[in-house]
Amino acid sequence: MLCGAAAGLAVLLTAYFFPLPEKWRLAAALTAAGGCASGLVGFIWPIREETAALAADQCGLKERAQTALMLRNEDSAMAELQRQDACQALQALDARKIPLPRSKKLLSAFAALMLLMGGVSLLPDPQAQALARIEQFNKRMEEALQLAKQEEEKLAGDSSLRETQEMRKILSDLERQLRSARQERDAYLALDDAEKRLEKLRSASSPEASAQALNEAGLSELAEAVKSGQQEAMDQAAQSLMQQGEAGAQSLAQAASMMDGAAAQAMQSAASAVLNGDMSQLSAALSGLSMQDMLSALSRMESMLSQMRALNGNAAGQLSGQGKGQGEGTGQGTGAGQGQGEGEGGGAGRGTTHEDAGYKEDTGRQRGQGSDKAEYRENAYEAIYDPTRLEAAETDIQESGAMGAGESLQIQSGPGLGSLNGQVPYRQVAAEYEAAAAQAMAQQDLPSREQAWVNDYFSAITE
Amino acid sequence: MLTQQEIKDFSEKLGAIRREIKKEIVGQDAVVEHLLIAVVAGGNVLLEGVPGLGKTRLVRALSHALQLPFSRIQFTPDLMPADITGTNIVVKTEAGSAFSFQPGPLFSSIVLADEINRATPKTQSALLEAMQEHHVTVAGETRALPEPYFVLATQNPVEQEGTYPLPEAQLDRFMLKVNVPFPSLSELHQIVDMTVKTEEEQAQPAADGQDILALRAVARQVPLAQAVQDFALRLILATHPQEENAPEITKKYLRFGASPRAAQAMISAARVRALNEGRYNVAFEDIRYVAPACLRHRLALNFDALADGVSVDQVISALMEEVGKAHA
Repeated sequence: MLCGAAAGLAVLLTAYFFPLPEKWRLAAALTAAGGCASGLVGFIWPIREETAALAADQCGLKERAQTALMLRNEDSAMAELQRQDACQALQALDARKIPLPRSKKLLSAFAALMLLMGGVSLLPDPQAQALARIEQFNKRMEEALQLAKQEEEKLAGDSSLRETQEMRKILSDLERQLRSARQERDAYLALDDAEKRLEKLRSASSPEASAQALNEAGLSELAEAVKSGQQEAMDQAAQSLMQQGEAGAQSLAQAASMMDGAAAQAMQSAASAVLNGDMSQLSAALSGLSMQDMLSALSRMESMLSQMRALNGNAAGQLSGQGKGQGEGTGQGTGAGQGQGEGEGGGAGRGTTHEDAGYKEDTGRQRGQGSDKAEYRENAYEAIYDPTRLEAAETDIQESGAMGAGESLQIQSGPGLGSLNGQVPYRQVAAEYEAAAAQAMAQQDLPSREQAWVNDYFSAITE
Repeated sequence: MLTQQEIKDFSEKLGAIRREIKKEIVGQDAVVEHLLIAVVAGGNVLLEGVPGLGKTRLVRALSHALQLPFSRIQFTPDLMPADITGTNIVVKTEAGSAFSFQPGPLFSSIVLADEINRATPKTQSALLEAMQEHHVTVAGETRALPEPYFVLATQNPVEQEGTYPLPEAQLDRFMLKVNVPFPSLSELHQIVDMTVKTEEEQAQPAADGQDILALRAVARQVPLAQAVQDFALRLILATHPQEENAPEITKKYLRFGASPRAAQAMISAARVRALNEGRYNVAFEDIRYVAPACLRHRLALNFDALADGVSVDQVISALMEEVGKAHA
């Protein structure tokens, strides 16, 4: 019992120095467990005869029981009479009157420990903030898992395709990693991993990949039609395939052998339609090459990952601000904003940012200067998470606004798809990013280990 | 080898003696009880009380009930040792004159040393050998005293003029010191009624010397639990102010404590008391019952106790409570 209470107190004291969720529940459980264990031990442990005799004597037997125990091996007349007398007294004793064995010292120590526990509860909890963060994090993880489960249910329908299986595996891995995540960095890494795998899946299942395979199989007309996605071109390509007959079917089969998953299935189906001379089947098969269902599923999953990032606070894949934003270039932008600018002079301010890293939180204010390039630097920083993404596709985001005092608030993050092939080599901005990261770390109460991790990262990329 | 019947008869025999004594003594139950305990345990008793409380009468009643030779010695300042031990006198025989030992009053089974503190220390010391060894040495010859043998002494706590306080060695040879209290109103009524009767009822023999020796043998067999013995011995140790763990009251009020003989006396007396209560083992309460009588003449109060008006009985009560906590 005492050990349980001591363990409970130790938990509370430990929680004073380290964030420990459920500390009261744990302390109470340990105390109760100690009590139960002592009760169990007391129940199971055999009671010594001397102890029992002492307890009986305390009920008014006038030391008869202790003396009888002492005389148990004596056979004198006095010993016999004494034992008989003690037995009679014991038989007349009401067992309910026998007091439970207790130690005043132990009870005092237990009471003192309970008082200390009460005293600890009155102290201000220095870990309250950290506990709140942990609780918030756990809540976010729960929500993220909920999103993942919902997405998994949507994928339940078509499980035969490789892409579906891969997406399901991505989801299950993400769920597992999120469950084991103990800090935000773990969650980000899990999301990162899922995004990379989704990107790979998207590139492998894109119409462009099918088009390339078709090109290599000598079906350039069909490849162009698939790439353009226009129904008319597809119909013409289908008629052309029908006219080619068996040769067309063989080319389709050859292209199918270069692909796998849904595209390969569609090409095989198209090949058999050509052989059968079934135009409607061919049209249906070719329409499958556009991979609309797959791309839709991928988009859904990407959207889910964005929502998860949004849940995690500093990684919201949104852009908002004053001014007008418009995506340009070959990358795919998801940001859209609307705003108003006011300023002196005329003309529309126009800014271009090249976002080459996917994870950023930008709360910088942009003030139009009346030039055709909006300044983007003031109080702005981008947190680069993964240098491997630097070779990804480019994202151009253009902003327009009135010259002068127009302000823009930008928050951008998410998988940037830009590259450094363009305007800003990363070495030119690495120092700035490093300074921004240092500033961000100073503003946030990051553990020293995480700070060292960030510093090491920048040291590595600026070497 | 004792039989169960002998053991069972103990209470009955003691009760019979008590009943006979009560024919002559009104009240004083505790005094009679302690007296009987000492008689059975083989100890001497010092009775202390103001004159007229029936101390001498009590001893006389005891001798009647026990059918034992009884002698009374009135201690005075001019009493000499030979007056009580006996002496060699010249007697004429057919062969001529010869020394013959004339036994003194100590040669009785029950000796009443009345107002013992009035004799000089020299005479008081003559009792030492008789009380402890149960023999006397006269003119280089040691003579055994009859068994059973008791010395029952009385002293007056009020009249201290011309008295010689008993030395510690003498006091230690008394098993019990019993305070004889003043009778209550109802007891006084009975005493007065008794004295106006034409014929006073006298105690009749209820036992003899052999019975007393048999009762003593039974009492010695009464078992004592280790915890009870430990309590008694701790109580003795607690009376010693020089002991490191002695209670505060001991260090404050006592000059010296009880001897090991006190421990023996306490346990012997407790054994008799247990049997008298119909029990075959000694209990804590037996020790508590006999402890004041065993200890009160063996503890010496210091000046602080006298100044604070603390009695030795108060100290003993406090010590029993203190030592009893350790056994609670």
